[in-house]
Amino acid sequence: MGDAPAIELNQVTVRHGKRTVLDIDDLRLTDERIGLIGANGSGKSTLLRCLNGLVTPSSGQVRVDGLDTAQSIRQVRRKVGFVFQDPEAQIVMPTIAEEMDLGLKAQRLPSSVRRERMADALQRFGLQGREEDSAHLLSGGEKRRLTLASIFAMHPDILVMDEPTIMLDLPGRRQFRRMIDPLPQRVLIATHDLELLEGFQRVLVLDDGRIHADGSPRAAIEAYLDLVDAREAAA
Amino acid sequence: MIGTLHVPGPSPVHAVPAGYKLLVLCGLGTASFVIADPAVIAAGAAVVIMLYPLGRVPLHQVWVQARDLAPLLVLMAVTQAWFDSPLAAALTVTRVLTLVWAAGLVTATTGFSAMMAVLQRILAPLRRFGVRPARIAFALTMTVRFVPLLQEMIQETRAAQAARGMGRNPLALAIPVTIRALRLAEGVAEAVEARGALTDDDDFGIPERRHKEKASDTDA
Repeated sequence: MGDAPAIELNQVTVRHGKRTVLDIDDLRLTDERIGLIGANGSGKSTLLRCLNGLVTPSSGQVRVDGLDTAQSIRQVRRKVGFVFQDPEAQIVMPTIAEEMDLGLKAQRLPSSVRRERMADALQRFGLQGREEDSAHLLSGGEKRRLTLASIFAMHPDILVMDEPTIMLDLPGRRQFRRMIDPLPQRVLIATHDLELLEGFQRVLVLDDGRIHADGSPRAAIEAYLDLVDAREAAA
Repeated sequence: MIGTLHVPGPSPVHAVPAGYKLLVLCGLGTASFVIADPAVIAAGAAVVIMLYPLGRVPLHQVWVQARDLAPLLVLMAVTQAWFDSPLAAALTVTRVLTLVWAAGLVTATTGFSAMMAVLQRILAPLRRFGVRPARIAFALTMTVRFVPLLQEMIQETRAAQAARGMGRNPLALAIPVTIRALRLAEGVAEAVEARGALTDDDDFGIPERRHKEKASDTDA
């Protein structure tokens, strides 16, 4: 999990009917911590979904470690783990152990390896000893930790997270930050939580499906605030 | 919810593979209807109750299950006594109680996924007719997960409608709940797909034979 593979987008467009929701010329992502910010509907989630093959580009190519996400979907999904915005929708099994096992079974791992990975992920995300707990009865923060643990256990090279802190309170957000900091994977996060981006190497600002700014967190956030100000002034 | 009825092991009862437990349960069900002596059935019930502490299941569950069934048991007993005999009433009540306690013990000491693995094994012969046992098991598992969530959704929507003075208008409840449920279903489908489970060329991300081998994996 050390050197995460590169993500490349070439001439990518995603269209829903006549509307273009994503339009990116060329983009290569190799940094370890990457943020995506932008207004609702700016294309953040669509871009993230392209990386896992959940959205197939209308034109152009998305490559992860040289693999085309439209052609090599199974290999791509082994490399790219996806943490969804709503833990309620992501947690599909009744207990913690069963939820963790879902992705591991999909990887067709022997039961000894599955148990080992499950124990490691539960320990890392503070859910050890709770394997048989009902997922439904977990708190919001615990559900978020379970979604992270179940994806982390699959050992992806890249972790993609769509607004992962949106349902968390302040202590929950801080705990989330402490958990993702030591992760060995490349992490891409789409978020409205600008504090979360502190210490990230690169932040992209999306606007209307296009990259409006690309740089350090500070520069990108300034560009985003300027964009919002300009939009408000024009309204 | 079935998931919350499970009592974590380990225990000697947890260690028994799910298939054997279900087989014993079926055997007990058959035997209890063949045997016509309430004393023998009551002895069987006593054995089942003794297995509760062995399976680390709180003994008060025996009382809770009997209490929850009490109105039905009383109705059955009165009807049987009226139309048949007090002996028939005693037989019916002891039969039902024995089976409910035995089923409760199996539920409490068997992981849901182990139970589903057995179901897949039972349904396996139907594969030749196009049935996908793993998908049926997966759907049942997801039902267990999402029933309480849907209940919550209904309660929230009902509260929101009541706050706006809409009382118990069934349409005002059904439409938003349906929309939310459909959105949830879309999100769930995406989450399952993102993890590579349930692809077209296999079932539940794992071949059937592997489920057979590991039926009791999460049992203990």
